[in-house]
Amino acid sequence: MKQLIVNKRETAIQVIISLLILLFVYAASSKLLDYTQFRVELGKSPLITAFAGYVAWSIPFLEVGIAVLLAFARTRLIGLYAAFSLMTIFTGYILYILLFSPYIPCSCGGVLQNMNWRTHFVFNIVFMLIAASGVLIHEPSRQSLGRAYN
Amino acid sequence: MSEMVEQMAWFVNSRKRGIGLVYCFFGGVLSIVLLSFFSEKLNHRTNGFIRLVPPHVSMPVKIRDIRFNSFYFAGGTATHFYLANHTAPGLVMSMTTGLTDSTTARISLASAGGRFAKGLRISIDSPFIHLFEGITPGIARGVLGDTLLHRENAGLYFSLAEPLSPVSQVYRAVDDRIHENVLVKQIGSSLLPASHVLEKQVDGIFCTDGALIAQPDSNRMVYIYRYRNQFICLDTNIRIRYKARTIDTISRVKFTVGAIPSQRAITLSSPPQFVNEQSCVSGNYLFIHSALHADNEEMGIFEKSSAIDVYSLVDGNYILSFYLPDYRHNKIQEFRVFGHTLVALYDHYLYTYNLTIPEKMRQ
Repeated sequence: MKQLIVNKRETAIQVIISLLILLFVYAASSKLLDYTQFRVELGKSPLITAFAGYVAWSIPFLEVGIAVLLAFARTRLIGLYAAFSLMTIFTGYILYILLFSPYIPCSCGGVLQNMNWRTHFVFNIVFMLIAASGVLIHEPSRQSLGRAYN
Repeated sequence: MSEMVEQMAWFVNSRKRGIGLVYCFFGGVLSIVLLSFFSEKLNHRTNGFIRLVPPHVSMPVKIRDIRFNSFYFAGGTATHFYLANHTAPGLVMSMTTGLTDSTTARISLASAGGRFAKGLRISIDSPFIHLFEGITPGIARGVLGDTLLHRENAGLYFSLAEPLSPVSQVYRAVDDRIHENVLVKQIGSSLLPASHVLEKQVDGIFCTDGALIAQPDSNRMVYIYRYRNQFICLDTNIRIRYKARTIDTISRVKFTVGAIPSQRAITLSSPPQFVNEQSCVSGNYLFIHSALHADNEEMGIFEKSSAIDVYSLVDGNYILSFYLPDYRHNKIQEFRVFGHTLVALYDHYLYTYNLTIPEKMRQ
C-alpha cells in the first residue's frame, strides 16, 4: 500500500517536473531566439520600461536556471519553490497589466504570443498550482538530500 | 509504526512547505508591487505645466446614436458636417450641427476606377469631395450631390493628405533619399516638396509623426507633432509662418527606435510619450486633445475626460483649456469644431457641446 502511494507520488512528481522543465526551456528559448524582439517589446511595457535592459536578460537566464535545478534530484525542491515564485511574479505582472496599466502591451514570444492576456493569466495560475502541488507532494526532505532513489 | 512516522514526517514537512509557499507567494507579489512603485515614480513625474480652465466654456447640448462606430469626420461648414465611413467608403452622411437632420449620399467608387486600399480617407470641402489613399496610391475627386468621381494621378506614395483647392493638395510623404517625412504640395501634376519643415529628432519618420490640417480659406496649414510640444503654422505654399509650443514641457521626442531584423521591421523600442492626440482648427483657434496631465488637475478628472487645449492661430499662444467627459466609458475618438459647436465622436455616438470662449480671450 505504502509502495503504491510512493509510486503514485513519484509519477505525479515526474509529470510535474517534466511540465515545468518543458515550459521554462520553451519560454527561455523562444525569448533568446528572437532576443531583440523580446527586448523591444519588453521596453514598451509600462511596468518595466525603466528596467527593460536588466529584465530582458535576467528572465531567460532565470528560466534556464530553474529548469536546471528541476532536472537534478538534489536541487529539485529548490527548483519547485523557484518555479512557484517565478510563476507568481509573472501572474502578478499580468494582473497588474490587466488592472492598472494605462494600455496593454504585446506579450511574450512563441506560442504564448497567441494567447490573450486573460488566457495567459489562467495559464499562469494553472502552472502556479502545478508548481505548488509539486512542492507539497515532493518526497520528504530527508530522502531528497541526495538519496532519493536508494 | 514506522509507516506512521513516515506519514507524520511527510505531514509536518508538507505543512512547513505550505508556509514556504506562502513566503514565496508574498515574495512574488511584493516584487511586482515594488516594481510598480518604482515604475510609477519613473513614469509619472509631474509634467511641469498648468492649465487655465475658465468655467462654462463647453456646455453639453445633444447626443445622437449613429449606430455604427466606423464613421469619421470628413469635413463641414458652420451649419453642416460630413461623416465618411471606414467600412462603407461609398457612403457619406451629412448632418446639421444641431444633430437634427441627416442625409446619406452615395458616391460611386467604381466611377473612380474601382478599388482603393484600406487607408482611403474622404475629405469634403463643400461642395468638393476628395478621396485620398496613399498606399496604392490613388486620389479621386467629385462634387457633392453627384455620384460620379474622376480619378487623378497622385504621383507619389503618401501617409497624410489634405485638399487645398479643387486642383491642389498637400501630402506628407517619405522622401526616399533621406528616409524622412517631408511635406509636398501638388498642383495639377507638378510636385513641390518642402524639405526642412518637419524636423528630425530621432529617426525622421516616427519622431515627426503628427497631424496635418489645412485651412485654405485663411491661407493656413498647421502641422501638430504627436510626440513633442510643437506645432508649425504654414501658408498654403508650405512656407513657415511661425513655430509655436504647446503648454507642456516635452520638447524632445521621448522614445527610442529599434530594428527587429527577423521581421525586417523598425519599431519603437520604448513606449512613446504621447503629447498631442487629436486636433482640429476652427476660425482663428487650434484645438488640441492633449495626452498630458497638468500639475493643477486631479488625476481622476484627467482619467475620466479628455483635456482640450485651445491656441490662437494668429500667434500660436495658449488661450485656455476645457474638458470633454468620457461617454459610456469611451474616450473621445475624434472631434471637430464648427462655429460655436463642438462635435465629438465617441464610438457610435455623436455628442455636441456649445463652445463659449470668454470675451477677453477671443481672437
